Amino acid sequence: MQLEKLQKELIIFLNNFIKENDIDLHNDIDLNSRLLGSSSALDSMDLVTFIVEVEQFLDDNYGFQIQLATEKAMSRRSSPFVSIKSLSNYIIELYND
Amino acid sequence: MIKTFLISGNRKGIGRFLTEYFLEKGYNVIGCSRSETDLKAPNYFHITGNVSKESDVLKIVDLGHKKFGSIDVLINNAGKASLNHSLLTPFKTIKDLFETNFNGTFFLSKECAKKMMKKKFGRIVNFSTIAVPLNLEGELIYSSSKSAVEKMAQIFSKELSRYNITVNTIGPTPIETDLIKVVPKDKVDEIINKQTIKRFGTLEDIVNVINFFIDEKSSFITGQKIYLGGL
Repeated sequence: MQLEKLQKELIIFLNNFIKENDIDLHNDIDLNSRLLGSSSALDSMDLVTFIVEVEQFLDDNYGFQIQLATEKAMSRRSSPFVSIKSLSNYIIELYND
Repeated sequence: MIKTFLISGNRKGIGRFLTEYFLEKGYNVIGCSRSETDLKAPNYFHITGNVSKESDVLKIVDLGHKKFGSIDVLINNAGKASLNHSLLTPFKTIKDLFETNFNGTFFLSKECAKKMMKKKFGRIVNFSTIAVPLNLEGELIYSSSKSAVEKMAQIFSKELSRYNITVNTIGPTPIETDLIKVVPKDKVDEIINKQTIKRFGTLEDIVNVINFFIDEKSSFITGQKIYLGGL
């Protein structure tokens, strides 16, 4: 699994997710687009759905079965779910673990 | 729309009956229990595993889903019972009952819901007991674990409603299965006497409620619990 490839895939994946779920989007999605918080296009339940769908995407495309929302992830000082960039870094870290 | 069921704890008793019933109706059924089953059918797939272990549940749901391509209905039947005065209840009993009844139901619901949400359809049915509203002496741990299962269904139903997944609970009366064999006869009679309709429940009574909960027309029925016997 390569970081740059995963980042591109997750941007496409998020764009499709936003279209499929009729979510209002005011800016284009890039690596630093917020997934969490008031400036995110996703509400808290959208984020839950998105994370679950990313888990399924990783299983389908990489045969990588993983639960992203672990105690380790939740107890970090900075959440891995802040942006596509932090999420990609986190997934690569888990993959190489 | 409904093609595949996952029924936990289905090697015998209610789970076995439900499995054979839904197979007979032409559905695919994924079954799981801690030991192997002698049940064989073309549209039946059995996975051994312990629902109280999250890693086993991940395996059960993953293999089951890959086998049939969907999990549309989850029946959280696996359960343990114990009759003990609270002052004589060892910690192991508490741990065992909560691990199977609560954790097992939670792990399976969580993992199956992830599969159901993609299809924007799902039905989850949990098992409670009439021991919850009756507050029976000697059933503190069992009733508490099942009470927690009822609460779980109510909150899960809210969290999953946006995916068209309903979560409901059935609370059976005593029915004549292996689980009831551990309960003394006078205790069973006492429970039946507290019911509005004073008889043992039957497997058909349970199927009737489950069929109502899982019906595609029951999309507006969620977070509910139905006790048999008129409580």
